[in-house]
Amino acid sequence: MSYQWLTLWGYLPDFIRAGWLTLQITLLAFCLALALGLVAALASAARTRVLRLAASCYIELIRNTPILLQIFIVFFGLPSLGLHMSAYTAGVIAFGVNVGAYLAEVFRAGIQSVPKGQREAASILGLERSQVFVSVVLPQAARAVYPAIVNNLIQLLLGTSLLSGIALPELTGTATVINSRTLLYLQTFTFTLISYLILSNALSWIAEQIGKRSFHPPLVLKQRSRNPLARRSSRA
Amino acid sequence: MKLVKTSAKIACGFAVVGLLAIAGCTKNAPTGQDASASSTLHKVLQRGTLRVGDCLSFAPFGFMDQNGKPDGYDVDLAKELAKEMGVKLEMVDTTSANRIPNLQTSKVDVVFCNFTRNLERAKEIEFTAPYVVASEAMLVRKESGIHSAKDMANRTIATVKGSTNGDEVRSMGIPVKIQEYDSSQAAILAVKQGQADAMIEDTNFLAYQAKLDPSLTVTDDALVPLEYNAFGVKQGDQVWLNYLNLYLFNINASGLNKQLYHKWFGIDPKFPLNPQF
Repeated sequence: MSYQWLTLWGYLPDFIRAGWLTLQITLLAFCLALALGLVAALASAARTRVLRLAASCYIELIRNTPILLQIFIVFFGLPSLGLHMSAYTAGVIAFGVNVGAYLAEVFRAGIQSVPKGQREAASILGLERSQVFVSVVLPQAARAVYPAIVNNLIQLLLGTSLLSGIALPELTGTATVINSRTLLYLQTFTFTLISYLILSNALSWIAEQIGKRSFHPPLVLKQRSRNPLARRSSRA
Repeated sequence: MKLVKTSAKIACGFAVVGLLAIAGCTKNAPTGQDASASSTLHKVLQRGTLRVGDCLSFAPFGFMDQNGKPDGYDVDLAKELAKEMGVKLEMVDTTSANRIPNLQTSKVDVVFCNFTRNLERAKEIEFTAPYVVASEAMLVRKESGIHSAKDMANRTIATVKGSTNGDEVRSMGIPVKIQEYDSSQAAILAVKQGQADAMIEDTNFLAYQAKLDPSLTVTDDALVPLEYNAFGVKQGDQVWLNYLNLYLFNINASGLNKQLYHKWFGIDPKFPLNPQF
């Protein structure tokens, strides 16, 4: 039994390379998604009707179609229009655009959650419209939606496994190749699961630290207490 | 009652005598006649139906047409064989995994299925003379300017996960990038759309793909030793084997095999059926 796990151990460099690729794609796509999401959220709250229409078209189109097909269209479909890109670029763009649509809705909800009184008070204090948004609305909205954004990041990390369909050697793609060579199903996929666990927990931990440090008062994502009773007694 | 008993005794006596007579006959009969009577050839002719095992999910060798009827290169060859024998044809769908058990348990009389002959399989079944020759070559876009593996330096090869098809080019000392797709369809699509430069597969399969899409072509490489694929039959039936070999000889001599190959694969066979060592 154990020699089979040792066989897999020999593939550790492949898993590390694949994990690094997965992480790169996740982070790049997430940056793109944040930018697209913010723009789409602003556009959907804009006064111009065309902007609102464009934003809702984007959000509805992306959120109501499967991501796998979106990836296929970017990688296999766009070359018909003369637009060639590597599996890496295609993956970043497909996931950036996809997650962007979900984040747009998150941002929109966050902006709406800021009480109207806050804006009124800020404008009475003499702040410009843009200042009201950047200094008053956005920080409060960001705090409200931060957990949802982190959630989307983890979803994105796990979703990149679909890129194995366009021959990108990320974690799942690498695992299926190793599996077809070794035929050690249980060992290969257990190794892969552990790799995802490590990556997603690391990302969550980093996001938690950022939340603690960049919000005032510090934003705590998870309440961690060893004993549920202890918390109750401390509160009492 | 008595009458019944007596007649039963007489019947028994006749039966014993008859059995002895039959046993004696069989023992004394010449062995050649015995072999021909127990041959699959004889059974097929008596039954009036020829059962051909074929992989019917492997276009264009065998597949189901729009009406759910078997069609393809193998099926055409089977139809011709049944016609020559003057019997009805029954196509039995097999997979590459169950074709040997199908022969051993006499579920089918012969298996076509682009059957690659090797000594491991020949321990279990017998093979006829070859009916189609295969190697591996590359499917490329016509305008790519790739004519052989030598043109592949620093280009991309699409393969199917788990296959070692890219290794043959690498072992020639040509540096290539390899993309591994989930299915051969995805790999072909990658070549069509310019995401990869070539796909390595069975020459006959690729010829068919190039026939379906005129923008694609197949290189003249033979990246692995030629495989002379044949029909498989159950072991120990020389009469049936001889008959099938003569059938193959005749359709090769008459040019019918070549004609059917051209019909399904869009080109003449790339490699001759008689080996040149």
